[in-house]
Amino acid sequence: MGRLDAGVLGIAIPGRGGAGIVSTESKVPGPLVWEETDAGLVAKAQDGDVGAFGELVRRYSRTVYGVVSRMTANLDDADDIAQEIFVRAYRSIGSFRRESEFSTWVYRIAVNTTIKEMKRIRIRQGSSIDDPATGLADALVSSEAQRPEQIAERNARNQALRKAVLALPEKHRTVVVLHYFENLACDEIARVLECSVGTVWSRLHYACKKLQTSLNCEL
Amino acid sequence: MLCFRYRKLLIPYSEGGLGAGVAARVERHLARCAACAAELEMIRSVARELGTADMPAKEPAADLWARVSARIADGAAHTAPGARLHAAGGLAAALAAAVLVAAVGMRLLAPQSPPAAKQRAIDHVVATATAPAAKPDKAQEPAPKPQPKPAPKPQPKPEPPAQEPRPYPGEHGWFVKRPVSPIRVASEKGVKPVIMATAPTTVARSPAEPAGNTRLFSYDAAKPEASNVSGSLSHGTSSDGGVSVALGVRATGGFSASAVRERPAPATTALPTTLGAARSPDHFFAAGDAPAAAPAGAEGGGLRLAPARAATAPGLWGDNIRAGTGVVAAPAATTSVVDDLNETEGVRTAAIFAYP
Repeated sequence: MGRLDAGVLGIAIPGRGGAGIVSTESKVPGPLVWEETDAGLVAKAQDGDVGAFGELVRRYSRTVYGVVSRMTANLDDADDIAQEIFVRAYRSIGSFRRESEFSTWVYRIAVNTTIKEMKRIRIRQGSSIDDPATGLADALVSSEAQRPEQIAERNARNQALRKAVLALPEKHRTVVVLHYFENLACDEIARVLECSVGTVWSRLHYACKKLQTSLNCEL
Repeated sequence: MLCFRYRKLLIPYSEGGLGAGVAARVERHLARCAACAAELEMIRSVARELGTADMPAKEPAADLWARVSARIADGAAHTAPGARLHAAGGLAAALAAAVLVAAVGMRLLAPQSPPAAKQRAIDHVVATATAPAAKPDKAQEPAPKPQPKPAPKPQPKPEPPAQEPRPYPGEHGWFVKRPVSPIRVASEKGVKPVIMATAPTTVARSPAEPAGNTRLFSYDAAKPEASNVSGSLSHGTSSDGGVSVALGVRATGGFSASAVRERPAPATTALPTTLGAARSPDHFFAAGDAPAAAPAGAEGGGLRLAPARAATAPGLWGDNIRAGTGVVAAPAATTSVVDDLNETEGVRTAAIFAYP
């Protein structure tokens, strides 16, 4: 928790959204607290405050993992890439001009770094890391109590869907992950990817067609 | 049906992200187009599938910050996971880069890549006002090139005979094509315009559209407020005593087109000064009008794209060019560029009108 500093602090209720004033990861509603805004933390990080950057890492770790683990199939790669994303973010924080939301900036670095690292790892391994059969879907399948046949059916569906998403070209996979899994609006995705919203629509449309075809073939 | 124009709107439509007017047009189209309706259902189906999928993200590593801060502290930030490449991997990366460079080079050197072919089709300019009605000139002008006088070459997709230019049936059938779809003048409902020049029908062709369904200016229905098309048609006495007419059209994105045609002088008629007063095709050819300089770069043979266009309006078809309504021409001109929304297709078409 940062110290009270008018201008860079906002009121937030962790777990209740904070009306965009701060980003919180807690799912448990808590008491009214003062929590430093992203902008304040960014300003401090730009002044060399590593601790402030650490708080940003804490806030956005789920965001980054959400993108990375849905765009890659290997859990170990997801850890390495997430680490790389934050290291790059730290190195670049000085160039962040605060003209956009910090979250947009983080998403941009996450997407670009993920794609870049996936290509590097693919070259290193000599094969695609996007092999949907590498088992992440199995590892992520919910273990809620259900009848075995229901679990099997749902697992098959989820696995097919994940396989289909991972089989999409990177630019289409990216918009699918950001829109349908990260729940970003199309205009926000456009800002992340620095393209037009029409391009986002077009990519989503194409991705839907590909997914539909893949799922029809799979199931 | 111009389905492709609606299909690009299906994603925002399916999520309620369109304005009421555009959404209503999409709905009207969906009501009569089973293919697009099926496309919408497909999108919704996939969205439902993704929305209910159980694809949780991995939990962040417990030691994430410890690892990040350690790398920050020891200055190893540049040592990315991908940098831990084996030597063979590095060689492979170098080879891949070399292949990429070669591929880009070959693409640049290729006479015409597929996207270039598409743009060429878009850019293709044909003669709109090239011949009198009795003998319309069906020759197609080549796409604009850096060369001042490109050699004629056939269009990528020649029009079938059934959709050849139709002469304007009037006395001075000077402009030979009509729009594929009827054009109405929004500001004067009920007044049927006589289309004197229909450049939109003859200049640009989208490969996705049916043959013959061509327009100069496409219209982004999602952003009607951004519409901006203007133009002018000036005329004066030509060197042989006939009438010289210069047509200029420009739109957002730096696009412009111009043409100069000449014809023998017709019967002189009083020159109208307002759009509503232009009641006869003869007005276009009235002698004695104040001569206007031909647009820079204009040349005979029909409309041509200005050289600057290629560099300034890369998205001519579909995205960057938006037609507007009722843009008034230059004061001395006898007509205006007017466009109207074709409600059935959701596309505005710029055209030059005189009124009957």
